[in-house]
Amino acid sequence: MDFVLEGFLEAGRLVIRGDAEVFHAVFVTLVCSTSAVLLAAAIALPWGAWLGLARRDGRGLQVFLLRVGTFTPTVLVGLMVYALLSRQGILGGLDLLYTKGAIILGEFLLALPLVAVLTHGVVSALDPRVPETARTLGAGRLRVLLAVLGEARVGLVAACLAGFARCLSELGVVLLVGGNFRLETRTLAAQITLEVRRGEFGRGLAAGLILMVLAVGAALSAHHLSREART
Amino acid sequence: MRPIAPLLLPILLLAVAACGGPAEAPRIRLATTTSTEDSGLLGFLLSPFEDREGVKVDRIAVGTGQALEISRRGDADIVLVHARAREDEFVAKGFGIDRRDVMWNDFVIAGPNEDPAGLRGGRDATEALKRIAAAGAGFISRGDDSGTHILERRLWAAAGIVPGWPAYKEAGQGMGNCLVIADEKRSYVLADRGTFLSFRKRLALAVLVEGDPALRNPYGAILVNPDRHPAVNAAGARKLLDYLTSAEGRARIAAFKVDGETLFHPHGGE
Repeated sequence: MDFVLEGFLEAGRLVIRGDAEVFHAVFVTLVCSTSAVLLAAAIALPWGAWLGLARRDGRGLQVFLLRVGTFTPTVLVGLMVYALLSRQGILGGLDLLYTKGAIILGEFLLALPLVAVLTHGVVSALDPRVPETARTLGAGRLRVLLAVLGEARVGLVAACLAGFARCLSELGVVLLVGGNFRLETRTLAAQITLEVRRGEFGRGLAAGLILMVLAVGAALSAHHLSREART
Repeated sequence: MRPIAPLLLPILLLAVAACGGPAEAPRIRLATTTSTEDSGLLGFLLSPFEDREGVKVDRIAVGTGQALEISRRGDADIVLVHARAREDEFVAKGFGIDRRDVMWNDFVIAGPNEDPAGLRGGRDATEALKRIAAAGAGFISRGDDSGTHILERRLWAAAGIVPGWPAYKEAGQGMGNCLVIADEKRSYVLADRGTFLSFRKRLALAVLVEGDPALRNPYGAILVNPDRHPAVNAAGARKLLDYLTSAEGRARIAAFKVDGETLFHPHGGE
């Protein structure tokens, strides 16, 4: 237990001293996770809602595949993105490997099925009178979708938050396609791994505590958003 | 809701039973670096010892820093690493006793075939690093305080260079990962010969500099101090240490080959 106390003290020291390495890792973590979730949500929210509105017309297979997607190990996604972006890969010419862009692409693929499946669940559970009413009021398909998304917003915030959580803590993508370069593509989760390898358990725990602060921040803002959405 | 407790209980009991297992053979916990395990040396070197003594050597293959740290905490019985200064500090602080030289392996500077800094055929590692720096060429550093990273820093210091140009990257990952990254980024990299050989087929990297005595890295074995951690398997660890430095162990180290190449040399031998 000796390094637990040390971890708390070290976390405080790193923040107060403004440790460049840790602050940069916070920056990379936030930029990549946020961009990945926003991109994923742009597709997953309408897609999941559309799937949730349908009744028995073959969309079940898509839902099933998305559910399988939520189980994909992060290293497997990392490996697939690596295969794409590698020099020998189809997208090798983009020179995207070992950049934040590569991390965002991988995390986007991680978040997409999760947000879509959760959206599907939320919309399926919605009162069927919502889309019906919208339709009788003469709304087109897009308008119906928007009405449904608006009605389900509390659940959708939770869905996006779950996707954000998966990105925040993932390691398979950032190590494989981010490269874990110091002051470039090193996230907090990667920083923890590195500190453990170094035998610096206290510093590892400190980086973990800072990651948890981000998690608390995300949870609080989601809490706030859903409370506002309910009123 | 149906009560599911009657179902859960047998599952729980099974899980608990599975953790117990049969009476255990005596174990020796060896904390070591990934280079010894990944190359296959440990399996080759330890199997005669395990068979004869009827013990099992659990290998905890991690970074040098982590290996020393878990040993300091008494979570290993013996440690085999390659970072002389940190080993001496470990003994000086009383965490370990009876450090012995076991073997050494050698490192190479590998890089892309087009060799932008013109290193090919050189034997002087310091000179090679100076050329890399002068060319501002890509270099992938382990950046993880591993034995290899410590050796790399020593070489930069000998060259009088503080690396920090944009194409110098600290990857903070293991040797294999760094080789893959160097290959992708067409960069230079300092690698132990064993890991390089096991990755050679998949990489378009060539050995450019080798044979400099400064590229040798000695491995030492240290017993975890039983006075600090009475629970360690001190007798087993001492037997293992004796085996590693015995004529038999030394011959075994020298006989270990990957692709026909010798990777580790017993201490004192050439």
